[in-house]
Amino acid sequence: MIFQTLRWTLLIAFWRKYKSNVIYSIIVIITLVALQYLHADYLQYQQMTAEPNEQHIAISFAVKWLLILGLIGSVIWMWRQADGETADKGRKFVDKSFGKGVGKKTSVKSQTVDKGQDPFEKIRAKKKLRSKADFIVENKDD
Amino acid sequence: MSVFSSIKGKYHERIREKAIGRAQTRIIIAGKSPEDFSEEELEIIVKEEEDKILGDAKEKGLLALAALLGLSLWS
Repeated sequence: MIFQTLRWTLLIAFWRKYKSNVIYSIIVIITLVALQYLHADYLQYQQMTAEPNEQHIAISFAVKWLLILGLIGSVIWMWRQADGETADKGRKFVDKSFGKGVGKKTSVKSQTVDKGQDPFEKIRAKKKLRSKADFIVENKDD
Repeated sequence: MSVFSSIKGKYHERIREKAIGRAQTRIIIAGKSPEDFSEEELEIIVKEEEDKILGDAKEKGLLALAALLGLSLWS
């Protein structure tokens, strides 16, 4: 019973978060399969004709691959859009909850601009951070 | 090799940024501002958050591995 509830909770959470991605992926897969079938049909049709037009076949291959590349490009664009939306939502939530500017992500470029103001500036530059225990050990007098 | 090291560097940079973000949130929730803390104190807070992030990532990785090996939680 508890596993059923857990499973449905996870499924609903997944669906709510990735709904658009899932729908878009299904559309892309269906389009790719339809494209393959259409192209195969076209090649078959060309073979059945008395004199297959080689130029048309070459164009059909080029069109097919252009469409596939376009689809891949659109998928990448979609992912980037989704990433941006998630980041914006997070930022808006932090702004709303704690005031403006807190959730703002500081990029490498802005680090140099904000130098001296950002209290985390030195921490960003450090390769390895020290724990409380490390500080205690370091500051312990012999 | 430089590709791998740059990926590793970016990975560490992302974790550090996430840890700093979490540390900032934690400080604000406590009703304080990062300026109230010394550099050492901030380092300790960020280190703690970074360890938590890494621990979570390892846990998720193990779960994914278990799922791949077929050790299902559902049955």
